[in-house]
Amino acid sequence: MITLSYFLTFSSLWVLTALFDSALYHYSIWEGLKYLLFNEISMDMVYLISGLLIGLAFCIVTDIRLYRNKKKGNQAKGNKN
Amino acid sequence: MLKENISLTQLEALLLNFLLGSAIVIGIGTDAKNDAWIAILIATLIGGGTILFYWFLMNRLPGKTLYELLEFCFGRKFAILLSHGYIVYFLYNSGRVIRDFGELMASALMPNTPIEIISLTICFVIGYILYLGLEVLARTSEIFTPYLFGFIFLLTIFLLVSGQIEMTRLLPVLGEGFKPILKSLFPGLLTFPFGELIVFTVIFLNVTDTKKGQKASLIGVGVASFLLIFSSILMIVTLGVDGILRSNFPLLSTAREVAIGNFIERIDAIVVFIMMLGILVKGSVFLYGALKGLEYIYKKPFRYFSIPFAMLVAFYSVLISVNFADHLQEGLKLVPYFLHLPFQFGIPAVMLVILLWKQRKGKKNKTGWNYGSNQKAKKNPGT
Repeated sequence: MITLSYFLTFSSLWVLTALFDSALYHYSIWEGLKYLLFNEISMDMVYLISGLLIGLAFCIVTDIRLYRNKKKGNQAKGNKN
Repeated sequence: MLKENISLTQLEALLLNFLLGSAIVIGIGTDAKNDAWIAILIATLIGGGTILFYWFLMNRLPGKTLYELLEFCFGRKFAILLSHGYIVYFLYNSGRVIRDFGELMASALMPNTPIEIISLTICFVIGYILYLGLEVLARTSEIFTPYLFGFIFLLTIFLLVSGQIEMTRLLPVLGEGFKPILKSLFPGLLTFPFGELIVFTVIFLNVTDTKKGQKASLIGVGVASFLLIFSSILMIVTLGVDGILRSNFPLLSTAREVAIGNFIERIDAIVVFIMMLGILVKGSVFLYGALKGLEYIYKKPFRYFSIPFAMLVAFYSVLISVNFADHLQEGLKLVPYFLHLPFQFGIPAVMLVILLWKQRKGKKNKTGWNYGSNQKAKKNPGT
């Protein structure tokens, strides 16, 4: 769930940024999306992409831990019954 | 989920630093030129009204956050959609605030450090603070606020002693009439910084004494506005209108004017402290608003989201615009109309109408006005 929320929010922010760029520079939304991907991601962005990947790793690990806890909880309930 | 409590003083400190935040970095009301202080003074009255409006809205259903109010008004499905909108809005705003700080550091103080590193570092700190909870953020804000007052006092004394202040720069008062003031008020000052207080609708329920919370909020807004007016006057009398318009960070330029006996010079650090505290609190409060929304949608404690979403804010703080000029253009031309006005006033106004209508309907049906408890009673008639 946390990973899903991460991707959803990432995409929404991407679209919002592209929308504003396209409104400001008078080009289409598709061009705005492409521009963000190919032009604005510069060399120094590698630091931020690393940060983004760290965030993604956090999400995946948290999701796995939550899933394991849930599974354990279900098993404990099953044993009691 | 564990409820966190903050005191009235902590709420005031949060409001104070939040309102100073990026407003003190880039300067506000500059459209009104040397009448900027009058524009901020009028905006203060509107800001007071705005915070009272948000309190009035939250008092309709005590103990609920903005997101739960959305659910009450529009139903769970539509509320999730709107909450997602608010999450994106808060994250985007947090990104803009961090960008302001990044630009300040990268262009004026640490030109050899990439803005990406600055954004990433401050976002890690914000993420960690929020991982520890709202109480930690409130305490941090409370502890550092006295220093802020001390530094503003010091800056004023230094400027007075160094002879850089010329009170005649404030004249003529209302030289061009009220038009420039109105121009800077709508939607500029109305939405930034006062309208941004909408994010506090997720914090109000954490205040220990909600009855006095309204008064404390007004005090917080009042003190912050006083400091904004004071800093605006300080900038005008030191730099003059042209100096302010030419400078990207007017308060920093003001501090750089200090020179006493070739000894006390370049007291930038004082101003940077004020700005850094404001940005830290404002960025954190916006991120917290988004995290509470995620907690509401996904029904997981907000702490799980704090570090990953802080990284997202760091990423978008750099990606939102190519350079500082682009960043300011977006902030002046697009954001107030397409984001601020609908999310700060549009949706809350619709919500208030629906809330009042539903409560009136509830009273007529003699079932009381607390929709949530009615629903529970309907589901469990025996209880």
